Amino acid sequence: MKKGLLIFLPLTALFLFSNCAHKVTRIDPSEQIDLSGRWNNTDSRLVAEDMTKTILGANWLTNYMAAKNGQRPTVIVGLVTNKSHEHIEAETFIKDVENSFVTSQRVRLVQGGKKREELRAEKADQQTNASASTMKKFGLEQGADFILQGSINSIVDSQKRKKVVYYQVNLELTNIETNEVVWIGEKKIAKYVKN
Amino acid sequence: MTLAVILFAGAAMAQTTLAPDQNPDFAISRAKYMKTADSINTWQGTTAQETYKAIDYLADKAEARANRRAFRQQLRLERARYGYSSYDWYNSLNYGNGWGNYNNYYSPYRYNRRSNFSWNLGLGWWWRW
Repeated sequence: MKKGLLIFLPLTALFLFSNCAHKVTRIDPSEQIDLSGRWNNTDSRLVAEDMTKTILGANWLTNYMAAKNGQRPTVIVGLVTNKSHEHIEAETFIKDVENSFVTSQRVRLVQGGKKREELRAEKADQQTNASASTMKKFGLEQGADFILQGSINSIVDSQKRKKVVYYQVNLELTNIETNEVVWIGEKKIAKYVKN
Repeated sequence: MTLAVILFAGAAMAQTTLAPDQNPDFAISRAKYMKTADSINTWQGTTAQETYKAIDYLADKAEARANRRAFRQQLRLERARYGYSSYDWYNSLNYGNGWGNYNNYYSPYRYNRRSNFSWNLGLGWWWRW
């Protein structure tokens, strides 16, 4: 009996510890792994890919450049409203769109919100602390021509353990002076979740 | 005469500063939004979370279970603190226990759900234990 216990207990402990071992592995961010069915990095990536592709290829850009003698438009990112049933941070795909503006060099991007406040605060600090030759002046900021705003909506249809979740992400580009909407990007994602 | 000339010159200058087809009353709106611009613009580049609670059977079930667990834990704490008989802790905790006061939406003992039958069999306080 004792002998049996002596063999059995270490084996059980080994089994339990091997199961509880914490394990982390790096994966490719573009790999699709769906665990819960909720909004995840794959959804964000799909939205980003679709939006970046369409926003730079749309007519608003060529129209603006034709009207302004080839000048590039300046865009500021506004508010994105998440009206879905989940907490979704739009920055994950908005940053990809911003990145496409900067890397393509076809659209100028200006800072807005709290980051702009920080920039102005730094500029204010320079007025009294920086040397006269390096001090940056107020009133020379690049004014935005367009504002990029957006919304995220969802519809959930569930019955017992089955669920269909539909997400609709919209981004809109609006002319700041005229309020004219010049581009609307749309990405629809539908998921069937069976628990 | 001089005043008239000054007024005319002022009006003419104001007119020249207007862009073609610009609304001459634009200054009213500008004054209004100059006051609120700073507070509104801090939201730029952020996501406003205006989420709603979807009807989801499993999520609701999990939430009810979590509430029941939290209630039981609170109950144990209260019992440890005040004992079983000296304090009417049950009634003081009659909230958020998953089934609440046994008459909320998720409770199978909900009175008058579809019929007039009551699961309260008259066991009084004992039933609640």
